[in-house]
Amino acid sequence: MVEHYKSNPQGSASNSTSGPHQTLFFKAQSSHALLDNTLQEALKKAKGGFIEKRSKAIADVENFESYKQQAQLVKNHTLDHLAYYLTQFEDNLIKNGGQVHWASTPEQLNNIILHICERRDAKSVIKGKSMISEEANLNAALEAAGIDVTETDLGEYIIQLAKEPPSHIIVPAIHKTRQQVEALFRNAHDLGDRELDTIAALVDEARLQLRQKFLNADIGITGANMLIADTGSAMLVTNEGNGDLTATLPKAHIVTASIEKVVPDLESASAILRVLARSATGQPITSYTSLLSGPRGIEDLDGPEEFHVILLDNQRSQMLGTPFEEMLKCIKCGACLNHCPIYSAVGGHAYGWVYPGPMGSVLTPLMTGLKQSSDLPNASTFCGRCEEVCPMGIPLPELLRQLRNKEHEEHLTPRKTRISLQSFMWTIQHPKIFYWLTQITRKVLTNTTLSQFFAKYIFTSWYNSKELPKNNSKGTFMEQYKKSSKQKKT
Amino acid sequence: MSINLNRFNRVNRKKIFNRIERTHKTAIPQAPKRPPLLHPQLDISALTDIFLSKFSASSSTYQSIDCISLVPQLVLQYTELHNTNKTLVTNLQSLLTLDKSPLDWPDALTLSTPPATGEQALGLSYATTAIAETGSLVLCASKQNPTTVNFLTDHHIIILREQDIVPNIESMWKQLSLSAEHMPRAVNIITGPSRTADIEQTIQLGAHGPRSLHLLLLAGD
Repeated sequence: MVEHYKSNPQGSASNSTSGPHQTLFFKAQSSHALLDNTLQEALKKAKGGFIEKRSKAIADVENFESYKQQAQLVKNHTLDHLAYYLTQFEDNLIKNGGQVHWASTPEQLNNIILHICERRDAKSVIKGKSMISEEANLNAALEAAGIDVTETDLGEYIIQLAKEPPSHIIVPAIHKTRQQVEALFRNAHDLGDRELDTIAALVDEARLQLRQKFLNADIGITGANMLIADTGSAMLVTNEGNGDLTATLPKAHIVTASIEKVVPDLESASAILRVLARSATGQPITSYTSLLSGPRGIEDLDGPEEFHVILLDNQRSQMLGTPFEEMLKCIKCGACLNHCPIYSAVGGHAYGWVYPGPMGSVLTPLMTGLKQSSDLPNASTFCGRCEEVCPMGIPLPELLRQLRNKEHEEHLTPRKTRISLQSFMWTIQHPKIFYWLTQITRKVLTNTTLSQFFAKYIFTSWYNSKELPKNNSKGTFMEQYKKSSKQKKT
Repeated sequence: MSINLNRFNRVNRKKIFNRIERTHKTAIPQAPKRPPLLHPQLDISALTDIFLSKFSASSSTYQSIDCISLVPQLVLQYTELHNTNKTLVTNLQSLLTLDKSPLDWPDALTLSTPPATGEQALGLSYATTAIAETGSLVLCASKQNPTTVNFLTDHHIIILREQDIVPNIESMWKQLSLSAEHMPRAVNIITGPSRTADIEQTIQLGAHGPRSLHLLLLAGD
């Protein structure tokens, strides 16, 4: 086994401000999620939609496999020369009049933003969707400093009102029904007796409320889907247009991005664009793809006076040169979430941190420490659909397997599991005992009264959410095998 | 909360680069050669048709025009079609890049100069180029084409010359020939009106940006 990665080598300091950590409680949270009827209703509505849209978008192009290959070529090459491209990006962004900042940890990212806010005497901040700021739990840091912060992506705005973390990386409020959204809006906005019973009315209401926020904000913060080394630009991919308003209207624009977001040039960016929206929402391209390259020029009539890019590491440089380097190819499209049977059943909150689904089950332990999230690598059936749909070909099941091995080596697996595994290992090494046990098990399973007794009184918690297999066999595998070989001989 | 930001950045930058370079074979990064990439090929003779079919698929509408002087009347008609107030923000009053003659705007339209403030119902801009592969219009931020016009208006009308349509995303970048230090502040690749599917995965147009997008395609030559 290749395993050089040390979990959370910078200590657990980064965990103090990086959002609510409930990754330890995946089992409890997922059981709770399965019994939450409203959540199940919302998840049911979401189910299938993304899968269908994606497969249609892929069928519409001649050779999606070749698109994937080109995108992977770009990422592999960039990660091999990451230091070079980061330097080139920095040089060119400065040439364009922008400023570059470096943060090793999420709280350093927050400190840089607070510093800029303080210097500009900023009272209000608007935000486009940024997973990096979710990693840093930036909103809490801004609020603690007395700054009014408003999320402007509709989904992010909804969960901000609900005071919840996102439950999906591209559709953050996927777990909310329209009735829940209406209730949140009625509670937060002065609506009088206006009707809000259609989705169109809800979207219009958010547009109306957020328009004023856009026009009055002092600073705009967005994420970036890519950073272009060759031109010193940030690329922003959105559908709502909120990211562009955030990047254009306030007097200062801050881009929060992680170091692996850099690509060599615009040709490379094109290869990634071609797989990004198709994998995420099933669109050939989103409504808005914007290349932002600095503050407003002398001739410009709009745009920010200051343009900052903050580059966050947060354990990523530690993944380089290890098997987990593969994870740095992730373009955050969400396809693995949409196709995951576990995610579809329990939703995103059960995963306990900002990244859910298969990619989250790999990233969260690497960023917050395996000890805090040892359930997550096990939150998988290893069905392999995530790897199949990943446009970057990240071997997610293999990475989860490596984390499980590591978990075992670090003695993080529960005692019960370890004892069970050890007993199983011992049993299969003793064939006679193994055959004897399978014979007994078969007898129990074919006897309805006995098997129900076991399910009801002995393995209670296991069978709470599972059904007992029906067994009408005429013997164990070995018994039947022996019988049939005898028959063949005679 | 007072940090010396310059020093802070210098120290962190060094730490991050040390961690990255630990895995690299060469200590001093050399200019690497990116592997060549394949681009999707399109039927060049049918560029306009491909473009228009993709563009329409993004819930956008278009009209072909053969003369720029038609623009003011068509803008007026568009306000009537969408039943909006007749306010327009644009810096293309004379459309000098497209035609030498100044446009004759009807009195019914109230014109204002950018930046857009959110009070104008319509915005009028021109696209530098367009991508057939995706059906996208490409707008570069400039004095004539300020970004707020693209995002703060309720309805966005864009003028494009047919000969500016290029096959794929890569050829679009080539057409713009961008280089650091001479970048437009923003390049907006626009494919349809603003949209969201954040509530129950139901697509709704007009989330924050324009509710509709209309193209006036100026015929070639």
